[in-house]
Amino acid sequence: MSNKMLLNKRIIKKTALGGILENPVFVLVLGMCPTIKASTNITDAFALGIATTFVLICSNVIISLFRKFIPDQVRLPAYIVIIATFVTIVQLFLASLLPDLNQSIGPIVAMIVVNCIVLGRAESFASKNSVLLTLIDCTSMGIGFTLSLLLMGAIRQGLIALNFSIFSTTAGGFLVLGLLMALFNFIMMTVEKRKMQKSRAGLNEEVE
Amino acid sequence: MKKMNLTLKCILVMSVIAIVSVALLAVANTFLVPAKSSGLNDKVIARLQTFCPADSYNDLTDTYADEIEKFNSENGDNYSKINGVYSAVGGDNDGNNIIEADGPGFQSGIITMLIAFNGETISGIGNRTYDTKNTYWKDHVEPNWDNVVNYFVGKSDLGSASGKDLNTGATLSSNGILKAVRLAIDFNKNINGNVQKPEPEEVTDSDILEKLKAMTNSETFIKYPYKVNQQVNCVYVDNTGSVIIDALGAEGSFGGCNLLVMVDASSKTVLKVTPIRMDYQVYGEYDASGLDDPDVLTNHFKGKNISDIDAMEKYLSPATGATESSTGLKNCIKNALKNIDGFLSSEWGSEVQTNE
Repeated sequence: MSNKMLLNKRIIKKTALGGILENPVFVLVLGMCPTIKASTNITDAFALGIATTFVLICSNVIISLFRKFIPDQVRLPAYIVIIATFVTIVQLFLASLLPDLNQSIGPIVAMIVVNCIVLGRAESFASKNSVLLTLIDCTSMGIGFTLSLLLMGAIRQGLIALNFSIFSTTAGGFLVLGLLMALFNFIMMTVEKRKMQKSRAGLNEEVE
Repeated sequence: MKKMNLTLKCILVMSVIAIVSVALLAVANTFLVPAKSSGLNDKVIARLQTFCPADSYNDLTDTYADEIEKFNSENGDNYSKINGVYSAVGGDNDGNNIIEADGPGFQSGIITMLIAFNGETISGIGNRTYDTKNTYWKDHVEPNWDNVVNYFVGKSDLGSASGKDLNTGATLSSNGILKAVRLAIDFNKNINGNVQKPEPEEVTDSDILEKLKAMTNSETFIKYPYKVNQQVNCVYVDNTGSVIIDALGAEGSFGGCNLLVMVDASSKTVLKVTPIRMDYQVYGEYDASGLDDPDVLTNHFKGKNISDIDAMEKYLSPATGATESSTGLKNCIKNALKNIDGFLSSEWGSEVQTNE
């Protein structure tokens, strides 16, 4: 296998794992408003996760496709218009086919336009990488975001059902988010530590 | 020159993005028509009171959900369809159907009409919402609303009428109104049983059968699908001729009720009462166990006729557990008593030998 192919494979693998290694909620700490607001129950959390993923994929693929044509000076307004178009389509979809869901998450869906995950990935990734890599990155980030929301939604819904009503509030949401963030980062650090220990052991063996 | 080129490029790119966005949104807007709120609310009830006054209204949309879905799949589309069915309870229009139907307005707008029927004849008409995206409705239809009412009231068939016949000056909106009313007329005929009348059949539903057996000593019952209005679901008769009416009642807090009422056909009084469905909710620790107890309800209504029930206190005895729900229970029993004569004089009822 040539070096270039190996490098491409490595980049694709790294991009695909971005949703976990650079989890938008627990690592990058992006999109906090919708995360706190929509994670009081699993249904809303899942719906918002899917809506965000859809907008993330569609808008960033288009941004990546036209990255060479969009002048730097107008890139942010251009990104916002593209993102807003897809957010409006999601809103129309919810209002038309899922009116009950639209009642509960409608206002949060509108906020996806200024969601840091979408705009952040557009600015830092889609505007600099190919369509394929952007597609992989957005799918991975979207799945990571949806899973994080689902996890928070499940925990908060369970605690609310057990009459811990504080978890239905914003403060309760931040509490769960903080604890999950700590747990996530602890696990990631442990994994990283073990990896380093392993590679060190490998180096020592080679030296001996 | 370089700056000029850059400015032109920015304008060009933003214009292209804007055009593509508009095109995408136009496509989405065409295919994704927003679902409207339906069902009774204070605003709709106030509107119904203007052309079909009644003591209250019953929302029967769920009861007719299957019929509505079937009818819409065969006759409707995104812009013209049946949304709901209501019935007037009490007053001069007692038992009249009110059908909520959509028609297409100007530029993909939707006009939602409420059409009241006395049997198959239109007795009143009102508008629930309009979304015609211009001022035609306000400028032409509203000032000429009397023309619309006069045109429809008393009709049961619109023949080859066109929007111009409504004389409003808003052709497309008038066509939309006409389309909605045509659908409502056809649907009303459907639910009035004029199309495919169902046949009587032996009761096999175990839940209902258990309740019926507990009311009489019989083992078998015939279900007569006597549903000429929205006051009764059907009528059950056992082999001894006991008549039990499956009646509906509206009003009370949070919903209505559905009771089995065994009626003495000669004196038009209540013999026994058994609840099937109670939509009511209980306030705090208020004991409403009586609401589900056939004995409690029977003791309360046994031997009563319509006048006796009208003379009852607003709230039933505390033993029933009913406060605001009392009105719904009384309406339900009255609906059963009101319909006994109608059933007995129908083609099915005349065959039934009651145990008077």
